[in-house]
Amino acid sequence: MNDHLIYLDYAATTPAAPEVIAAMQSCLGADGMFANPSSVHLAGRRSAAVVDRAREQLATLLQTRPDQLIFTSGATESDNLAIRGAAMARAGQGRHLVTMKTEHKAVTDSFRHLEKEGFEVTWLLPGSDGLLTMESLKSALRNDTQLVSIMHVNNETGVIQNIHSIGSLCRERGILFHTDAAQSVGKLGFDLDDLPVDLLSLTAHKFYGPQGVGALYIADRPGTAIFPILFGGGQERRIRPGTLPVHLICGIGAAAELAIAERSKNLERVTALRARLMSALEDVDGIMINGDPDVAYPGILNLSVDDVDGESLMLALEPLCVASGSACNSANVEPSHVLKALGRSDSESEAAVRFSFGRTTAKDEVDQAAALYRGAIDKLRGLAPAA
Amino acid sequence: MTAPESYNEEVRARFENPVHAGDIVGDYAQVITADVAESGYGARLVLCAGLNDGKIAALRFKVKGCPYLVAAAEAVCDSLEGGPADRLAGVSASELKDRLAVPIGRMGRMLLVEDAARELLESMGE
Repeated sequence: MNDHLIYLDYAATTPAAPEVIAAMQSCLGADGMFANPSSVHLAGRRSAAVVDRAREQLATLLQTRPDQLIFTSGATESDNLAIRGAAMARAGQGRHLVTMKTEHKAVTDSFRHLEKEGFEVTWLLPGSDGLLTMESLKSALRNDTQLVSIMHVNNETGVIQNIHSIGSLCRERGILFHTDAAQSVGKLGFDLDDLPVDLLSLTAHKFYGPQGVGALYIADRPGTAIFPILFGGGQERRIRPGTLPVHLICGIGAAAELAIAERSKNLERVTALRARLMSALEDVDGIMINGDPDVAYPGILNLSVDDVDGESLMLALEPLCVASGSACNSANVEPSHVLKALGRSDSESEAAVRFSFGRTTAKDEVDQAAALYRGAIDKLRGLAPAA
Repeated sequence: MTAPESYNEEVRARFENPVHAGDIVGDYAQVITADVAESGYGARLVLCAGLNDGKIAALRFKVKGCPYLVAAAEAVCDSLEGGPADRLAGVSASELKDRLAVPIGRMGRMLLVEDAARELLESMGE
């Protein structure tokens, strides 16, 4: 990372850890484990052993069996495979699906495509704290509901949904439960053998692994079979065909092993960093925290004010690298659908900033971030005309 | 949450140091103000001129909006201050768009600047 940048966008992506890079390098080049793991010759079998080991490492992190993990290109593909694959596999039993408006676009867009194909989707809203209530979920479920998809940790606010209760309710009703756990795997503890989750999406680059590889957990229990969305080979039990990227899979395995060792320490660290930032900014006039921090992953802090332009705020914050509460494109500024669902106004959503902390975030970076944020808000308020 | 796109050097420089931002201070033969806003996006520009002998002795702005709007307001103030007031008629949204490499979808913000200049010009005759 450039020396001049202050990177507080670990919820977007994390740098591959040195241990991960070393593991991946062992797979590259003529002397590496580059062979196709589907090949039956010796080199292929050696690559297959690397893949098997990585699957075991990831299974250990999730506390589950390795044969329930399918490697994919990342959480977006895993979400698409889980949602579309489950909906199609169970379409003969019913076409009603349930999700939340605060899900990642990989989930919401998958459901929107299914709506166009004749599925009926119930879109649930959280409370202003970001949490889904069990009452609203219960009232959405029907006899023909086939799938519920609720993310674990929200990527914008960090709010943690109670996936144990949600999954239990789904099990009682015979409904498949999928969770997008891209923001929680490697950061929070998991015991998948004890969690009533049928399908779980994850990606390596959120926990110091490489970009381009992820996994889908599919519980080995009756009724969890899903249809593939790609065709062309027998890899990954025919659910996700395609030559396996050995170096990336080796990387996710190494990242999983590292996450087990680092998880508790990291949680303590980001909790302290978030408290430091909240304390430094609590007296900024009109500041709001998006999502209830008491029920959120502490590595994420999302703040809003309502009287500055979001795009100008992002530029004024440089060299601080944080995420904006809006999607800017050449045509317009689209306020965050997550913050809007929490009841924030357009201007509050557009001016939202997500700070996210990681293993290497230092206290003085948080202090600099706080100073930059204060300075940017003061500058933009100083430029603004009187109301 | 996509990051804002890249800005050219002039946008960055003028956004970073908008020396004409603020209110008109001092005595002038005439002080005129234009207040324009873009509905729906919350962008607003207030342009204020202090006139002496048909010249723009001081031109200041206040703005809430994207970096392109801030930079455009600053660029217009910078180029017109000290010159004849009728140069306000020459403020062109399309010229600002080209100069500041404004994406076509943000043309509305440049039109705000053009509208503010026209409004100032009309106020002079009142």
